[in-house]
Amino acid sequence: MSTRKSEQERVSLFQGTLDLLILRTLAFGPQHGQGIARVIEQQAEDRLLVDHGSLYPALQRLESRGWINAEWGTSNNNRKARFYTITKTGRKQLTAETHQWRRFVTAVGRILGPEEA
Amino acid sequence: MRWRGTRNDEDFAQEVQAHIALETDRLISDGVSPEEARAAAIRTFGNITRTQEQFYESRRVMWLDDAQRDVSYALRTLVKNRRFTLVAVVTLALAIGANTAIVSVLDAVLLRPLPYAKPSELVAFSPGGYDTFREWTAGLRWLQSSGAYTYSLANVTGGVEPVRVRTLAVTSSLLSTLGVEPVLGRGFTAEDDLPHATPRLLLRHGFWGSRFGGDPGLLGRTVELNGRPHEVIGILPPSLEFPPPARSNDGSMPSTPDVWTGVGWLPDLHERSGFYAIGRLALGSSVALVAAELSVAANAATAPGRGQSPVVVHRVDEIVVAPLRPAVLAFTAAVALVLLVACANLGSLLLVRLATRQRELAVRVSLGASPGRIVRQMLTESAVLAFAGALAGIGVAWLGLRMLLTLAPPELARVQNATLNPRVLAVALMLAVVTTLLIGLLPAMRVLVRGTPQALGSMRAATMDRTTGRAHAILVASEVAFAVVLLIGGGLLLRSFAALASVSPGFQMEGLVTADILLPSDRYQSRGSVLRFFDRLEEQLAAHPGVRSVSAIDRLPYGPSFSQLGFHVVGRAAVTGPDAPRGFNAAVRPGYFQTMGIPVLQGREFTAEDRIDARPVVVIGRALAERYWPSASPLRERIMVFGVEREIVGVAGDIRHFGPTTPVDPMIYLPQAQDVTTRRMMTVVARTAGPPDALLTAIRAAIHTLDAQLPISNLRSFGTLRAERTASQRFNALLVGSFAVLAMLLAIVGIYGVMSFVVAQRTHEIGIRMALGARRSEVMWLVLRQSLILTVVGLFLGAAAAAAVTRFLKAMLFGLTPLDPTTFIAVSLMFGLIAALAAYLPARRATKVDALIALRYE
Repeated sequence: MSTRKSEQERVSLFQGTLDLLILRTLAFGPQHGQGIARVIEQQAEDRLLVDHGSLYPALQRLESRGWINAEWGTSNNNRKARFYTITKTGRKQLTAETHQWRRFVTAVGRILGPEEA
Repeated sequence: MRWRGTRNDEDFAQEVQAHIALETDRLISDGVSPEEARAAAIRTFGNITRTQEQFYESRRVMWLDDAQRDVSYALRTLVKNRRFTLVAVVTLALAIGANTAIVSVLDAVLLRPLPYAKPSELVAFSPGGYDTFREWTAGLRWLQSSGAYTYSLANVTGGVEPVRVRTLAVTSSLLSTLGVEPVLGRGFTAEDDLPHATPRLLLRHGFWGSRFGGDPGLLGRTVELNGRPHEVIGILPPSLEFPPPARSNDGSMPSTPDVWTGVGWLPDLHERSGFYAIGRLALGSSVALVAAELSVAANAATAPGRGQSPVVVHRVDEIVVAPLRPAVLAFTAAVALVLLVACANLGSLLLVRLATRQRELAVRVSLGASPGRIVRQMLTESAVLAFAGALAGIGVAWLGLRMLLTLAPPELARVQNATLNPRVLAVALMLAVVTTLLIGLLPAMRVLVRGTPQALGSMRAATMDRTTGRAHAILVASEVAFAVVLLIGGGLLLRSFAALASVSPGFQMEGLVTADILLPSDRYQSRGSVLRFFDRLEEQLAAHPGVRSVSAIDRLPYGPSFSQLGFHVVGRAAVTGPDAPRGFNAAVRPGYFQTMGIPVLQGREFTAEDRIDARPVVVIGRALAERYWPSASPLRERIMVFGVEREIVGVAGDIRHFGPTTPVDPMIYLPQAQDVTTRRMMTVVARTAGPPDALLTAIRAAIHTLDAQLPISNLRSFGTLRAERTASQRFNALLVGSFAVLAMLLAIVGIYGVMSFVVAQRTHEIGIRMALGARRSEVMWLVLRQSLILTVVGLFLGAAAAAAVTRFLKAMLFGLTPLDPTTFIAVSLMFGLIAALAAYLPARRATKVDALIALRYE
């Protein structure tokens, strides 16, 4: 019970940022779900993604908003996989959200002050 | 949100599998063994089910799909718990359907709005004479219009067969006051108010249809009335009922007269006194204002010195509705009780269901179902149930209405117009649906509020805990109580009706045939000719083998009312004013009492010797005799009637003219030969040896042998007449009985259903006991005990409540007190037995179960 609760907390906290991360990942090129998960895992030191499954609601949301498209294809090792690509609207959204995110980080950073050694 | 409808569960499932496969590949390439890799991949993915659920929820039009699945799951669940579903649906169907049917009929019969424009503005008063009416209403401020009317009789001759009809003579202002217009043609004008106007008439719609075939060409043509041609100037609307359908004491309603004429048609317009008036209130007026204004006018018209009692004015809708009020209240209470029983039923089912589903719900929650889903699922189940119940209810309503219409006495014409009343149906449906939804919601709420560990902890199929058990007990007991109240009330009313039906009217009704005859004055001018006609008719009929005796009277019991007259006892001080001796007078022919089966208690009845030139005689009724000669025999006393001293030669048994609930009539009988006026209108009565209907043709033939042109009306056996008069009472009895039966059915269904569940829950326990050696009867008693106790408690509560409440029925009871012990005891016993049976059957079934199976049952 308790595990689930805190897990839900963490997921909701990063839900908005998860969208951002996905779009960013896809900006570099089409990728399938597992691939996106790997990228996020690798690039972020902390475990932003508790489990891979929680990517999918975000993917569905982005897809329904038309920021990403999806299509079945084949992976490098000949596995069938569903590939996502960012759309033009998606790129615009990415730019806007990135901008917003950086401003947010700077503002918080100023308030918090330099990191204690 | 854009909806990608093309993606389905399959697709997403495949994507998930693909993801896991890819992750497995990666781990393998990192050096992990294939099985471990796959396990790790699955772990890393997380809760697959949850992800799928999330997919379902976000990728579809959520409610539609969920609803679909919920509905099919709901259906499966309901089918699995067959008995529960059946009990719930039957309860709903009965409560909704039967109630709606009964109330729809009630509505049609009792509560139909009056067929006039804005009936709440109409008032009624009795001016008595036509001239009085004109005086009173001259220059009236508080009535915007008024009209007067009076009854008469006439023969419609020419055409198929002559028939005597009731006529209504009306002022030209009457129809416009009512706001009614003829559906064809036009109404009367001021010209028709004057005597000797060109005779015109209006026809009642039904009469136009039955006698003239509804021929529109009749307009402008003439119809012969009393031998004179009258022009038909209009046809009244089919819905018109006038005079206002006020119930008389015995529950019968006077019918609308067939022929309407202008007041100018009456030969004795200024002399006769039976005028009634209707007025429409002016703006801002009221009954009090009108009464005051009329009283002033009345006083002004009377000679000074003589007091004039104030004019009484009634609202027309009050006259119609007031006598019905007790009945309407009683039926409303009945409806409420039935609905209460149904709600208690459903409530009981809820509690039982609560117990059985708790575990299932707990399991579902622990498997990951979100609270929202559970609530939605429960609501869907209830909605399906409510829907099924509502459908069934509508079906029952329709069927029930058909059944009631078939069973209704055909004499009650209004009944046949009854249709399903949408308002009632809507209320009942809403109530039922709300209750059902509550039923579904509570189990879910309970589980969610309480949390799951507790529910999971119970090993057996959940038994009822103490609060639930208490609530359950209250519901069952109150259900029984409500039903008992209704049954006792119904029982009282039914016994009243039965008593009414068996009251002797004072004469012998079996084997009696009657026919109304009106001798037209142009062909039977002299008294002698009238008497001779009846003499010869009696001879003819007496000669017929089927006829035991024959006579005639001018007013038959159960017919139009008697007229009152004042008399004066010779040798006593004269009394005037309201205490002056009064009685009802009737003119009869010799042998009347014998024919009617009225006992002659003292003296003799009239014979052929009591002619116009013989000594004037009267026969009086017993009530009159007892009132004015309490200690001595009235025989040989003389009373002054119609200005002539007459000797009392006989005392006859009492009759009730108006019906069983009315007091006895104080009668004064005169011989037809000695009556003041020549009574041309008589009702012939004949007592038959065999079945009365066989004689009807013979009587008609005999009359027409003497005079082929003579209209005969109301030729029938007395049984038919009585059936007509008691029709509405019988129908009330039918309705009351229906309610009582309905309540009982609901309560029984409820008890049976609940008992079934209780027993099912205790099957495990029963198995244990029987395996341990308990006898079947012991186990059964154990199981039954609680429900029997509840039933008994409910019976007592119900009886007590009934005792408190039945006093409101007092007005409708006849021959019984509101606390009649026989009814109370009989109802309690009967219901108790049936309830016990309803509880016993499931219990018996339970004990038949194999012990081993019962032990395994969870």
